[in-house]
Amino acid sequence: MANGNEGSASYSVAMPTRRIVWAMLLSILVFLPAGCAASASQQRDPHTLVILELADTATIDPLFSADASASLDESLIFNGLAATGRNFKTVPDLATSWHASRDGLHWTVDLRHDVRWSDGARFTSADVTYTWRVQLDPQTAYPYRGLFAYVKSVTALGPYRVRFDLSQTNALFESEALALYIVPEHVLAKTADRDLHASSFGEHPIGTGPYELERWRHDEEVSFTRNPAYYGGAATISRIVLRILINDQARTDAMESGAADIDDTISADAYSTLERDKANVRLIHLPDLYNYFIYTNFVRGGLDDVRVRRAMMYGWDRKALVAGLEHGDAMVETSIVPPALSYWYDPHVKRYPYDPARARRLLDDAGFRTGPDGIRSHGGTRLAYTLLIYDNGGPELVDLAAEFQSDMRAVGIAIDISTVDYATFLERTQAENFDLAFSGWGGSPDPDEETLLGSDQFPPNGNNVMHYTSARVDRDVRLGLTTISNAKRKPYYDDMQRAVAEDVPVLFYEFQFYRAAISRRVRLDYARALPDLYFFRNVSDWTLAR
Amino acid sequence: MIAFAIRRLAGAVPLLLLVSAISYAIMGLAPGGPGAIFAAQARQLTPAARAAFVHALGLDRPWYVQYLYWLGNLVFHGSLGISYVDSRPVVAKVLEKLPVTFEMLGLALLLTLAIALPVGIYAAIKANTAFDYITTVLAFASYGMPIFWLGIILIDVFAVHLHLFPTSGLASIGRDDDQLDRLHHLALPVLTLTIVSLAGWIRYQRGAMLEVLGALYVRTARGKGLSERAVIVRHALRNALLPTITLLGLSLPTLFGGTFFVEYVFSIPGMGYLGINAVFQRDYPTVMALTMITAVLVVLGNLLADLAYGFADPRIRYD
Repeated sequence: MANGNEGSASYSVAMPTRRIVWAMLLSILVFLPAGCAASASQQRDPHTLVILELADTATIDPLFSADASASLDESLIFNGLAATGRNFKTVPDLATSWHASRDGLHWTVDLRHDVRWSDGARFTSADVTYTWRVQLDPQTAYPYRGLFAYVKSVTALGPYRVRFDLSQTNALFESEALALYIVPEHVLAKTADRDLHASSFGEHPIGTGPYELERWRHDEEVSFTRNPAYYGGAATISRIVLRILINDQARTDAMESGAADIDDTISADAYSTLERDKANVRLIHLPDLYNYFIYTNFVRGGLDDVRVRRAMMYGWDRKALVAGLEHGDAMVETSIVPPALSYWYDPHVKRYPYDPARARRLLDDAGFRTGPDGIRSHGGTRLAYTLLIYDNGGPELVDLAAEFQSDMRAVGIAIDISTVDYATFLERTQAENFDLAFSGWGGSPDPDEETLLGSDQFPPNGNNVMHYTSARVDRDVRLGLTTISNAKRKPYYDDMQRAVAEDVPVLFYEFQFYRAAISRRVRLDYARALPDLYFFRNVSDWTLAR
Repeated sequence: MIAFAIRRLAGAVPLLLLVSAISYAIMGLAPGGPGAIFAAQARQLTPAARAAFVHALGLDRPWYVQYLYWLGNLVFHGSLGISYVDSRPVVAKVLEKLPVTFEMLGLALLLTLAIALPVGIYAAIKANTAFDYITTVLAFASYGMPIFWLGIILIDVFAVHLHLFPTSGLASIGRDDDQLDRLHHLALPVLTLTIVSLAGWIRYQRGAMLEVLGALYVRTARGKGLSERAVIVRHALRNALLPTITLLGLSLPTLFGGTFFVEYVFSIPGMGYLGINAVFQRDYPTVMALTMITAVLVVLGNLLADLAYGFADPRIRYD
């Protein structure tokens, strides 16, 4: 490369070049006033309720949606025969009533006469029998079909009455089976069952609910307009927008500026920020249905010993961890049933207050002696494990793992931390290719935990990735599931909770709170709505103050 | 020229095949599959239902067999398949994200050229002066910066602390049709892409200009008494800009790669955002569609750059 031009005068050229550079800088500055204008004129639409969501849903088709994000979208558009009401009680929705035969195997359900689909067609028993026929048809590949294998058939007994015939009694029939959303026969029956999964119904759903889909910009926004034909009367709020906003700061900004009305997945940090804005935002704080814990794999030497698992519980300072990571705003429990299910939750279970001395004693008793490296071992089994976590669990998960690691180290257990992406995490836990794995579990308004705890539920049959076996728990979950009356079921679930707290097949961490922020301009009957995790159900009665 | 274009396009076919096979292999060999994701979403899925799902998608076959099915579907039915996640045709999913990514890339490229060309040329004219040294140092600093890191820093400084720009997204709530608001949202992502690509361009342009300035015809121009301004603007500049056209084509893959990180960091719902989510969800058809569409765009971009080069430089003949 030659550079014979060194030092030659070039100021004459510099002029246009400088001008170009300045023009460029000016063009960058154009971005700025645009933004100032944007934030200054933040206008609230008096007819639109804006709800923040963390992720877009894949499909608004109840036959195929398997992600949690779909639940709000679907609840606006669809109805089940029954719904979950206050205190997790099953209440009528599209059905007016139902009653069981004496053996609990035949259920007659009466339907409302005044329901129309959002396209004007009448809702009848044909929609119910159609929905159940396709769900039970293996060709449809309905993801939850296995859960309802006990439903033999659903028959119409006239336009507004159906009968469910079951092959065995199931305590979840009312709360789960009757609550499934009903889809329109007149729209879907044209499509063969095996092609339903590729139909465009999930993009253009037609339902019986208070709202209908207006527009869907994937990964950005879904909007709904009220369904004038809704049987409960047209909703007061004419439009609902679900806005996908991932960034925590952006969500808080949107709530503070009033651009958004509801954020119901706020972190403990955002909660304390929004608390300063109480004049504009109302905060809701309710016990959630999710249980966070560490799976222990019984196949790994040492972890099959209950003394080792109990020592890990005693040696783990969970309260300090929750204080640091969640501002202490979580419940440190040892029950497999969430405290939110107050009817079922049993507080009289074995507890594990932080007590490292006791942890060391337990390990001593089990024969695990501390080696020169500070790690305990006994007869070839070294207490050294890898804790598997997934990388989209947020920074808290990394901190949590590190604290767990140092707490365990203090009692002589070595913990390695392995971070993988979520798909890999799932594959490794389902393949039982792990020692310890941090996970969340729950969401059901029923205490049944058969698939998690049953000794016939090792993968791939169920979710007992721990390989936990207990005849006592097996009996509890089986009887709990096949007994109909809740009062009779309760003793089984009390016993299940006590047994699990004693055995600790999972190392209990915490139950979180459901935290939501709602703009003050949203008027809803809080006295009636709370403490009800399903308060969105009454969205058609909400109003927006001017 | 047409014959040249056709030859080049024909030559791209084996290249695209190779790209598709390698992409499929990497995906197929990655741990965790669509079956695992599906099972986790429907947590009480029976093994039979999971097996049916896996079989229906052909995921119980080895990856190379799956690849052949994918290829067959593309060649014989012209279809890139439907998404595992939402059952929509993947081409539709990609095409709806294309405009956003193109808008962002286009703005970034314009801004890059607008800054890099004058600065590069000026640095060449002022070679071995303070200006030249400073731009060189800055260029290498920006070159070595990880793009996601830069994005996060810009968000932290300009959005979180200074409140000059929004932290993420493409539009403010309820202002989706407001172009000014959109530009405001695109500013930081565009700036991120610009900063990391600036270095290469400045260095390249500086080199090209230096080479031209040492050429005999520049000496001739000076020798016949032309003013320095006339020498540089009329003789040197034009020729120094020629190689840039080639770089335009060559920089496309880097730019597309950069959008993956930038869109993810800034939550911009474009192709990169779609791609990262598809990878996390192991939505193979979407990942493949994105890879192939991007590969085709890069091939076309390179071809266009070559043709443009010939158009601009009459000495080049395609035969």
